[in-house]
Order: sequence, then C-alpha cells, then structure tokens
Amino acid sequence: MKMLLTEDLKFLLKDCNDKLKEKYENQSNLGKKDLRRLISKMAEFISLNRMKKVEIDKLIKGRPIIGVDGSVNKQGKVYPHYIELLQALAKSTDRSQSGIVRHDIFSPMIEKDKQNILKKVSIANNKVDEDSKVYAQEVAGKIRSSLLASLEVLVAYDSILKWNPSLIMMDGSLARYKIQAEEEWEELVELALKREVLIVGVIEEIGTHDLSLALGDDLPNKMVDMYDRELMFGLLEIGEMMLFADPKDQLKKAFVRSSRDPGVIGIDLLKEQSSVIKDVASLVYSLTPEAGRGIPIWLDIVDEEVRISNKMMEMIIDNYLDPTLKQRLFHSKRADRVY
Amino acid sequence: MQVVGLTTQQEVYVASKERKFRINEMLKIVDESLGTPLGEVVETQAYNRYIPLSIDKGFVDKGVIASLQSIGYNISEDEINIAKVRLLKEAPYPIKTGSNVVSPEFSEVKSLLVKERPEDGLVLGVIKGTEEMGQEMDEELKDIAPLFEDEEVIPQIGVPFNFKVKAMHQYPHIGIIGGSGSGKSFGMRVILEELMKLRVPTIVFDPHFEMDFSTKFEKLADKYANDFSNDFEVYQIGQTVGVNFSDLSTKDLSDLLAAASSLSDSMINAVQSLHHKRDSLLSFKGRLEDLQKAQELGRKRLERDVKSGAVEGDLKEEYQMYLELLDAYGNLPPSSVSGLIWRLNRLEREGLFSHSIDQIEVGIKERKLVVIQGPIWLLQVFATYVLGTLYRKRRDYKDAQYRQQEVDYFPPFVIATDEAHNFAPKGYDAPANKVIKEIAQEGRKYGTFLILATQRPTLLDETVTAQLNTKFVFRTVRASDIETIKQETDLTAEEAKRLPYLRSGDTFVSSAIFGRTLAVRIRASKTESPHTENPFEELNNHSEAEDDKLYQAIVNSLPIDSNDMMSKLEEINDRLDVVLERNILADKLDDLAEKGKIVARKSIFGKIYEEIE
Repeated sequence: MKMLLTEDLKFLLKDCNDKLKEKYENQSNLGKKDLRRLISKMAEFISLNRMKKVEIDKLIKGRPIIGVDGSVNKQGKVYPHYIELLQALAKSTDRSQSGIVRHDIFSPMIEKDKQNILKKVSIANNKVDEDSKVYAQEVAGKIRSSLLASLEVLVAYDSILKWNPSLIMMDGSLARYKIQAEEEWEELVELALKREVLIVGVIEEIGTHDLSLALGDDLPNKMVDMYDRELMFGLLEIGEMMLFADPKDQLKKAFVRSSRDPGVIGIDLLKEQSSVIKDVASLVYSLTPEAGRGIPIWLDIVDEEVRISNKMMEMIIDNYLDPTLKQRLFHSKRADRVY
Repeated sequence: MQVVGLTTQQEVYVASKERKFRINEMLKIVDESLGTPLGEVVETQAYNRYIPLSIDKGFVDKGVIASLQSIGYNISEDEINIAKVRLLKEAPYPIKTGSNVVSPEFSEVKSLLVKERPEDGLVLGVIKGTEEMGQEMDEELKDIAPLFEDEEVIPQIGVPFNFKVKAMHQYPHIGIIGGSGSGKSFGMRVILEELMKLRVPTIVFDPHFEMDFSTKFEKLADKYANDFSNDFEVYQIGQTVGVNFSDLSTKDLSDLLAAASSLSDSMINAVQSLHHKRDSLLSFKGRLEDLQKAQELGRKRLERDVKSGAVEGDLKEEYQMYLELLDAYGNLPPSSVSGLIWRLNRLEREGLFSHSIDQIEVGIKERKLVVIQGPIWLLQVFATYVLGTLYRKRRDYKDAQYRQQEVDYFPPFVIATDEAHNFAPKGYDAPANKVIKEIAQEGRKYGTFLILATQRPTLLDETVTAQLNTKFVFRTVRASDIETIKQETDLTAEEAKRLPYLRSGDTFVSSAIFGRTLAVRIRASKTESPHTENPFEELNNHSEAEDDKLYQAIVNSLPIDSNDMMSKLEEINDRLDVVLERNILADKLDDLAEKGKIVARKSIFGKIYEEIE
C-alpha cells in the first residue's frame, strides 16, 4: 500500500480545502467584470492576433530569432556535498548555425565557490538580526542562480555579436537577469539598444503581486494580498493582453493569455523598446500552441536542447571525476534506495 | 545512418535524420568485425520529438508550426527516420551499436537478387526496395520490366525479379495466392507470358475464359510488346476439344457423369456393371437405351411374345437381346438407368464426346501454351482426363528412357490453373484430386510442374500446398487464409501484417530458390484479357449502338406523323432486321426524342417526329 489514508489525513485535507474555498469563492470577491474595471485604471486590455507571415517578416526583417535558456544539473544532494553543472544556450532559428553554449561548474566543495559563499554569509549576517539569519545553503543557491543568469546573459550577448538577430527570447523575466547578473546585463542592454535587437522575457510562473499592491484598498479585504497569478486566473480571453501602464525597473511588463489554459504568462521588454510590445506579444502568441500551457514552442525547443538529462550528467561525471572522489564527496545514499 | 539502441544477432534499428527508409530496401551495416553484414528493412517509422503524440499534454497545432516556419525554423527538419532491419544471415554475435550504415552497391547484392539471365528466366516484375540500385545494374537487366501504376505504364525502377525456371527441377511447383482484385490473375498472366517466351509447353485450365493472349495491352509502348499469336492455342471443351469415349476408364466415366449431376450409389454401381473396356459412346449408350427399353417392356411380356410367336424376324432377335440384357443387368433399378441416360445426353449435348484431346497433345509437343476453357463443372472432370492422359504419356516416356527403351518423345510440361481449390480441394474427393496430388508429389521426377492459383489456400489440399516450393502471396484479407499462409511460407509476422494492405500487383515471393521472401511488384502485362470492358459501360455502349441502328432506319422516313405511322412502318421495318409494331415504333420514337436525337413536335392532332436541324 502506498500510503495510509487515515481519518486524520482526510480531515486535514478537507479542512484545507474549505479554507481555500472560503477565500477564493466567497461572494464578497469581485466578479470578473468589476475586477477588469478596477485594473483598467492602471493597465490596458489589448486583443492580440495570430500574426501572418508578412507581419512576422516585417517585424524580424530577415534577421534570425534567438532563444536563450539555461539548465542546471546536480550530482549529490545535501549541502555542501554536491556539484552542479550549469549550461546556457543561445539557439538561432537559422538551422545552419549551431548554438552558442557556455558552461560553468559550481560546488561548495571547490575552494573558490566556498570562499564566495562564506563571504556573502558573513556580510549578510553582520547586517541583520538573529531571526532572519541567512544560511550557507541559501546563499549557495543564490550564487548558483546568479551564475546561471550571467551565463545566459553572456550567450545572449555573444549571439548579438555573432548573428545580429532581430529578437532574443529569454526564458524567464528580464528582471531576474537585471538583479542576478547586473554587470553583464548592463552590457547586454547597451549592445542590444545600439544594434536594435529586441529582448523579451517570457515568464512561465508569475511570482509577483504587482496588481494587489497597486490597487491596494480598492480590492475587497480578502483579495488585498493575492498574487497576480491568482487575480489573473481566467480574467483574460484567449489572445488578450494586459499591458501595465508604467514601466517598473526599466522594464515594460504585460500579462498574456496565450493558450486555452486560463492561467496567464508574463512578458517583459526593455522600456526603450516598449513601443513594439504589441507586436512582440503577438509573435509570442503566434508561436504558442493553442492547447498548450502558454509558452511559445520556440522556447520549448531551446529548452529541450539545453537540458542535460540526469543520465547524461551521470555519464559525464563518471567519465571525468575520479570514482573514489565521486563516491566520497558527491554520492548520495538516496540514489541507492531499493524501492 | 547508424545503428541505434539495443541490437540482436538478427535485428537492429537504424536511424537517420536526413534519409527516409523504404520498406524492403537493403542496407549494409559497417561492422567490420562481422564482415559488413547485409540486412533488409522490414519496418519503417518516422518520429519528430517536437510533435509528440500526446493526448493529455499540449498539441502542436498547424498555426504554430507555420509561425515557426515564418521565423525561419522548420520543425519538420527535426524528423528522425527509424528502420527495423533484419539481417539476411544471422550474425554470430550482436551488431555493434553505433555502426555506420550505408546503401550497398548493386554488385554487392547482385548474387542475392539476380539468379538467372533475363532471357533464360521468367522476368516477372521488379524487386521492391531496390529502386536506388537501378542505375548501377548491368545493361541486360535494365528496361525489361515496365510497371503499371495508377492506370499508366511507367519505366522499370529497380532490379528485375527474374524467376529461375530451371530451378523448378529442384524446387517444383508454384502457388499463387490472393483475394479477388489482388492482382492474382494478372500475375498468372505475366507468368504465362514468360513461359511462352521460353516456349515451355503449358496447359492452362481457364474457368474464367480470360486467358487469351492475342490482345496487346493497349497502354504498353510498342517496344515492350510481344506477338504471342503463334505461341498459344485456345480450345473450348465441346467446341474444339473433347473426350475420346473409348479411352475412358470406368472411373473416368463415372466422374464425367457425376460432373453432369451427382450420382447415387446405385448409379455408380450401374456404370460399373454396364461400362465395358473399349466401349464406344455408341455401344455404351446403345446398351443403356436397350436396357431401358427392356425394362419398360418387362420380362414377362418379352418372354410371352417370344414364346407365342407374336414377334418374328428382326423384332424377335431384338426381343431375345432384351432378354439377355435383363438376364445380365435386370437387377439394376430402372430409375438409375434412366438417370444415367439423362446425364450422358447432357454431356453429349455439350459436345464433349464429339472431339478429342489430340490438338492439345499436338500443342504441347509443339512447345505451345494450350488454354482449355469450359465451365468449371466440366473443366474439373476434363482436366482429370487430360492430365491423366498426358501425365501418363510423359511418365511412360521417362520410365522407358530409364529402362533404355525406345519410345516416342513426350515433352515435359507445366500445368496452370486458377481456382485450384476446386481441382484439389481439402477434405473431400474431387475428380482431379488424385492426379494433381500425384503430380504434386512425383511430378518433379518426370518434369511436370504445377502452377496453382487460388483465393482460398485454406481450402486447398494440404499435400498439394506443402509441395508448392514457390509461393506468390498477393493481398489477402481473410484471417484464416493469412493464418494458412503464415504456416505454409516463411513470411514473417511483419509481412503477414502487411498482407491485407498490399496494392494490387504487389506480392511477396516466398521461394526456396531465393531462400527468403522478396517483395515484388509484378510488371505490366504485355497482353490483356479480352473481357476487360466494364459490363456497365458495355450496357451503355450496347444501347447506344441499338439507338443508332434505329435512328439510321428512321432518318430517311422523317418527318413521321403519329397519326399516320402505318405508311412509314413498312419501309422502316424493311431497313431493320426485326419487325416493329406500330405501338412499339411510337415508344421508340418517343425514346429517341427524349434522348435528343430527334424532335417530337406537338400539334393539335398529335405528335410529329422530325429531324434535328
């Protein structure tokens, strides 16, 4: 038997369901119409069309489109005994060009990375009080994210030099790169603006709560702390975009319902390039399968290519790391579980 | 192209991004340690990882693929082609995964595909999957087997399938299996054409009246055509050939009578008593009729009249003879006797006894193809008789030759028939069963070979089926027949699965001569059956001809007033070979008017039929 479904567990689940239901289905919540009316004070609703070939040609002017994505593989489980392989890929729609790839390795067992972690931990812990003490593993995670972000930004940068694309589609919010790889990002933005390369971030999982912050007290009590994805769920029609009026952090943001899935995706663009956001959003919409989860297929293709399977990772590690070292440092007992 | 995934000693998977695989094509696997074995593609697949078959997940719709194409990325180029390849010969250990795979040169596979020079064998079609090798072939193999596709003759592509007829000495007999419309009769026609090319003496039993080789296949270019008119003869049972009654054994005779209508036990008994060796039709029939007469008159009356002197002279002798007949056969029931007379008359009316098989013998000796046509019920018995006679002659010649005696030469010959399950059925005894079985088992020794076509292999006698060393398997849909085919041939499960979907004219040749199954497309035939006209078209053509005839007969009598038809009727009838009555002529004129060939103008007095201006 997989799990014992006891009365206790049943009760807990039912209780959880009731509480959520009360919050999200309560009559005091705003209806779709009212919510749209409220939002329209700070954002614009725009209908998008699937683009025809001529429209796409006009937008990209014969230059390729680049997709950028990154992947992380981890061997070992618990801090600090693991090693991570980072990889970023910029792939051109021009099939004759092979992708631009950059790699990096991160492991708390490596002296350089370890020092880096310790330094950041001590800086953070000197500033804050006891309650919000930061832990080394969190810091390590952040460093790794930022390493990956900079790899991605770097391949995007390389791709402009190499291919002179019309547009770079990044997997994830541009805000993330701006925060996590600040220096490289600045350089990328500068080059992109100079060479007139559009950069768009496509966000699959929206983690912001910009709407409730902006609407504040206009929202009923129970909705004031709702995240954007909760408010946006089912609010847009297929092919509809909600465009924020004011750029935040130098970025122009929008939510788009690009498939039959009632959840939305986010896109963001450099503020300087915000005039074409409708075209870019239409392109994203055109490249998204109607029955899919809302992400343009081009990013899925890039993602497929950059992803390193766990089996592959194991093979690489086996080939290049000394077996005794591997067993001693990175081997996880979990991997040997029988069931 | 390279070997991927798990391999075995018999099978490997080969994948390629650029090249599509063709079923049945040959590939060379470059595994040096195994001596670059050859394999044949038995299953093909294509896969695109970006367009998965997912029912619960997202589906990549057409619009997206088009948009992707507009930004310069063609998703279809991510297609991967996969072929399952079976090695021709089992390898001693599994093929190395990752081995490179290439298309073989023609010279490397020639010995596997070409067993005979085209002028010495039966060029029946093209081996499928060899399309790419066509250019490298020897000149003599090129352009000898044009194909018929989509109602058009196209040039030969690939290596010709050349059946080594001489190898039948070792691996005798051919079976042709396939449902209706599968190309079975067409395959038979091509085989027979090739037998004529080699001037192999052949007897063809043709229940469908379709094996005539005088009409050139219209769509075929002249350079491929052959004139077979001197190479074959067509005879119809009762019209041109028949049975020499005095040659008949009692068994033959009862089979013949049974063919007319089945015999009861007492009738068979009656034949056995009444038929004497060397009986002519006249003597046998006379005996039957006399016995019938005697039974009608009755012993009592005959004896009384003879004794009392009521009959004298000839009549008395006649009565004496009747009495002798009654003594000898009086116990046979009169109903059986009259039943036999009725059957005998039916056969006689068919003309069966007014001819002989001499012409057939002559044809065989002249190395011709002799076609014998007749209704299936008669053909079966006639075949028994003909085959029995000819096979005996050939056997006697060979036996005498072994004994080093001088005898007249009688050539080896081939016997071909469609609907073979009627001639040698499983489970019950048909007249021809015995002789066909004997030839199937012993014919090799005497140079007598069978070509049996059937749509129901399951119904064919198993002893016969087992002796068919080469089988052409065309499209077959019936599950029980596919099962039989699987048991009786070396067709693999994959090939058997394809059977219901084969195109007309595509066939698997399972032959001991080639040692493996080949997929073959039968070539375009050089001649065509005389009745390929569609019966429904024929119907239209016929009525058009009729209308035309009528129109010609009336056109000079127009206009015709419906009130005064009688005056014209006579001259019209003169021009026609039938006599029409007034009403019928009126109907026919209306009909012509309806079809727009003449005009029917209405007037106050009635109709006037006029010519169209």
